[in-house]
Amino acid sequence: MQSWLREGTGITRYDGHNDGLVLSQAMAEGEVDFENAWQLQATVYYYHDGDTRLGLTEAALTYQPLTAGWKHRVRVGAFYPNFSFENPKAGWQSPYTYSFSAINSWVAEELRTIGTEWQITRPGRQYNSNHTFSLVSSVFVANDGAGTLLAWRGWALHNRQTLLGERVAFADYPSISGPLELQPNWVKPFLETDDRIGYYIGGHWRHRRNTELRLYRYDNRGDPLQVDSQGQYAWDTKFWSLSLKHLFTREWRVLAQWMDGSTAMGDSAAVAVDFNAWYLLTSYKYHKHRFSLRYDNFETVDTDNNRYDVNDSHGHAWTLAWRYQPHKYIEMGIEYLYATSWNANRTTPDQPGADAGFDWPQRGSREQWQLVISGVY
Amino acid sequence: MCFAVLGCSVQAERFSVTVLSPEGNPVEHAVAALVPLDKSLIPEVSTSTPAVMDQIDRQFSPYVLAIQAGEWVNFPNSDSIKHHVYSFSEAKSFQLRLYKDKPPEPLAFEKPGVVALGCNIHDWMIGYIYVAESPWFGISDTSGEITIEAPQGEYQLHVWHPLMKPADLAREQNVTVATSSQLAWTLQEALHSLTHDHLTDEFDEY
Repeated sequence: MQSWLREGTGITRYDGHNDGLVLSQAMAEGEVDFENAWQLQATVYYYHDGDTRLGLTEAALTYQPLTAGWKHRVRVGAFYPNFSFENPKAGWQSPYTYSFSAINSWVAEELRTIGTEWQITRPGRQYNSNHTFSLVSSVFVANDGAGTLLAWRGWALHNRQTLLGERVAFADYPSISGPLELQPNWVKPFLETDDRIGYYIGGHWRHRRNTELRLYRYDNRGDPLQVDSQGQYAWDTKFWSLSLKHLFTREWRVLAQWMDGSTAMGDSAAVAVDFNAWYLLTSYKYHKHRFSLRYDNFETVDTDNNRYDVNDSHGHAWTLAWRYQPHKYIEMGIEYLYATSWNANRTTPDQPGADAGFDWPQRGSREQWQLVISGVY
Repeated sequence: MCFAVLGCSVQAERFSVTVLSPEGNPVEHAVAALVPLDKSLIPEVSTSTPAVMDQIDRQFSPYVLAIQAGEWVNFPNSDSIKHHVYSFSEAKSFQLRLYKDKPPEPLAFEKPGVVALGCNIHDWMIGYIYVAESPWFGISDTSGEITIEAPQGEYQLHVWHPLMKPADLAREQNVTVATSSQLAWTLQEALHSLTHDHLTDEFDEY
């Protein structure tokens, strides 16, 4: 199946069009420390695919004053929320697999905090305790498109982060050229459509250095009735996210995340979908080798009454990666990804009432091998 | 024995302290320091080489460093990420941004006392510099034992550990250093139950 990036219904970044050698991505991260407690950070990406090739994924100021007890960190700008543990590397990369989990693939493409976030931490060790707690709160704007891709394409697995201001394509589903004619088959996820401020609030708990949990509630408080002149709706998207990281030893760890939420747009919720996904990842480091295995399970449930736009979907995926860093400037690795999904809105000509122009089997599986060579500077 | 040509004046005796928990288990990372009752006997700092408090795997290394007041300490950064080390302690208040391969100038620690170190980026990082009044101190190993070479005389013995509770922090004892002497120092209260472990995550916030 062709990738959604090329207006197909597939859920992986690469398809038959990309077999062979590609420059997957190039990233540069800049950081400036000011004399006071402020820091400026920006990340630029180049991609060979998608709507825009070169652009920023994050640009933010961080304020982290020196305090004797409780710690404060304020971020202002455009940046990723810290919902999960999968993407701790520079440029929001994952050290585990090249393709992110379904949850974080979606975060990469449709979520960004464009606003401010304040984190208060009670560092356990300062208080002779093994428990460290943080409270995170954020208000943001310009995330009204979040939910669009989940509603039609469903969950996907990839590492294509949406650049700030970029638009993301997806298949021209029959309902989009039909009953939902205002809606084009692309989304600008980082757009302010309804002039309403969204928020998220989260709690982190860490036990010693081994175990950490993060619970978040996100709500962009979208007004589903608002739509701009380009057909970009404000999607009312809200979800819970719960993440876990546990280190058994220095070498061996597990990560897990669960997300459950809903999105809706249009008059009397013309398009409404509940979504949920989870993954379990384990990773083992042996000298300069890292082996990671992840299982993803994901689902969307159509909750509107629009029978011309049925968006139920479900699927699962296995991702296995070996990464090896023989030198500090070079990393190489192999990733195998198997993803299978069933989406109600994929239609074939033989389905009753289907448009002859679409040829998308509802159930599709894909195996994707990647041999990756990265230069690190 | 003393040879005039070597310039030594006083014979050093071996003074050993074993620090034990209330249950009798050895306590690691405890500092024992001897302060002569006659403080005029305290010699000037003799070393010009700075001591080292490194950052390795997002931890201070060593966890506890002991120096004599007047000594210098270097703060290298062996990690590939940056640290922002600080102290609000009365004995020495400072902050240092530590970048990879850019070691800052060493810092002087003139005032005796305990300097608690933190990192503003990695909140779990905690380390201590015990600034002793005299050159006669030591840090316990896993057996809880500290051996100090000190001249004969009357001293006040201080025993300190980062996780000690107030009753033990207030304790001090006068001791006589004569020929080889051994002392067991049993804590009155259990240490705070904080675990000092070296399990670190290379992917924590950088």
